[in-house]
Amino acid sequence: MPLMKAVPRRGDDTRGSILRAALDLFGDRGYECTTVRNIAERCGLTDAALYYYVPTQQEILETLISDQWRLPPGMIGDQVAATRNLPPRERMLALLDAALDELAATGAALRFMRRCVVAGSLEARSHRRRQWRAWEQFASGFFDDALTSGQRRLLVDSLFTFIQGLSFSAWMEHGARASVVLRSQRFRDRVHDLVLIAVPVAAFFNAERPSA
Amino acid sequence: MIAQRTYTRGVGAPVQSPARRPRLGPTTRARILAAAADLFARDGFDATTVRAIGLGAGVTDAAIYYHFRSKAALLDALLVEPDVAPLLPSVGRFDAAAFTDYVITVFVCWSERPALVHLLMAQGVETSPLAGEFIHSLRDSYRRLLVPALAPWFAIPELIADALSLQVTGALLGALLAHPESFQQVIRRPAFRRRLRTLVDLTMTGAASLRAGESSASA
Repeated sequence: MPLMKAVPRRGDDTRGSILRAALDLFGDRGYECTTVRNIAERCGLTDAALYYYVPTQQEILETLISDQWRLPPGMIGDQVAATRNLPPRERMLALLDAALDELAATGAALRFMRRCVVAGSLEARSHRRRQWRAWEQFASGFFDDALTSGQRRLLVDSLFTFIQGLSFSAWMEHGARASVVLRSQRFRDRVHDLVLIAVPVAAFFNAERPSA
Repeated sequence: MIAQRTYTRGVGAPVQSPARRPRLGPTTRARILAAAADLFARDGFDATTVRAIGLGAGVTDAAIYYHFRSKAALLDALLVEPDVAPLLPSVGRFDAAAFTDYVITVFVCWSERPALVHLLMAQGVETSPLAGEFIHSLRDSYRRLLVPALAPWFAIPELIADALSLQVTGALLGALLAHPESFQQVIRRPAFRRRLRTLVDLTMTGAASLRAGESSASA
């Protein structure tokens, strides 16, 4: 039954804050372990007020799925052009930083999606596959010069495996603080050292292959 | 023989004096551990009851509490690292190929217990309070296994060990998310091992180039 009542203008913010709170909670403890009361408490509303904005918990879930599981924003696309002339090493670090910024910003949604995938949601699974493919294509654009498609695939695959392992470890280790950690300079410095070992970008580019 | 069968079936299993019967099947303790690993992986740690583990292993709750203080103690017992120390390569000079073999061996020891790996991954995805402990113990155990083998040859063995464990973790998580139902089979397939080997090879290439950089800088 759709809610046709006209919602006041400033209600949009309330609805938004409900959705953000729900996303955090679903990501932290899962959909089944989150109650409407938990969500209401987090945004300082009563249960009744929450039901005014969002009729059911199921609807919160569906809205989150359609809003949050989006493809990578075009904003990052600009960074491709900006780093086109940098050496491969700097280009890869720029790509990694862009991915970490994205993870810090949308971590809750990603964790929520991973949970749904593990719980067996086919929708979440196909969404993840689409998102993965979009990122893959996007990242390949960073290295479309001087590499064969096989080399490019290997480079992107190993970089994404690295990022995946990194995000997993960061959330496990830091929990709710992970997005702060992911943005911190100290973390980035260490990650740059690690990625240059795990993904030896120089070895992919003959001209920069170490002479030793 | 017949007595052994009724024992493993478990209905009304005689709990006392196991020493008197010949040990043909796995011990009670081993069966409890195996059942717990399967159930934790399938249903998660929180949702698995001690009673369900008992049913799975064919023993009573009391038998479980005889061997393990609590459900958490059962989990601790499962997280014992595999004994791969004898497999450590003892080469005179550093051999990247041998080391790759070694890392794969370390991983294979884990993947021989796919239910446990599944549990680690799924619990991590859920970021339960246990998760932080998992990742620390996992990283520590990788460091314990890899750093001694790397230390004679590299100035920053911890960094290389961490890079390796991130790649293995990332590959495992990728497999879990791509094949949530068949994860336990997927990580045992040769194709997955090959993929892992490629990633480890790349990382060792990165480590070697770092080393080349170091030596040329010091020369």
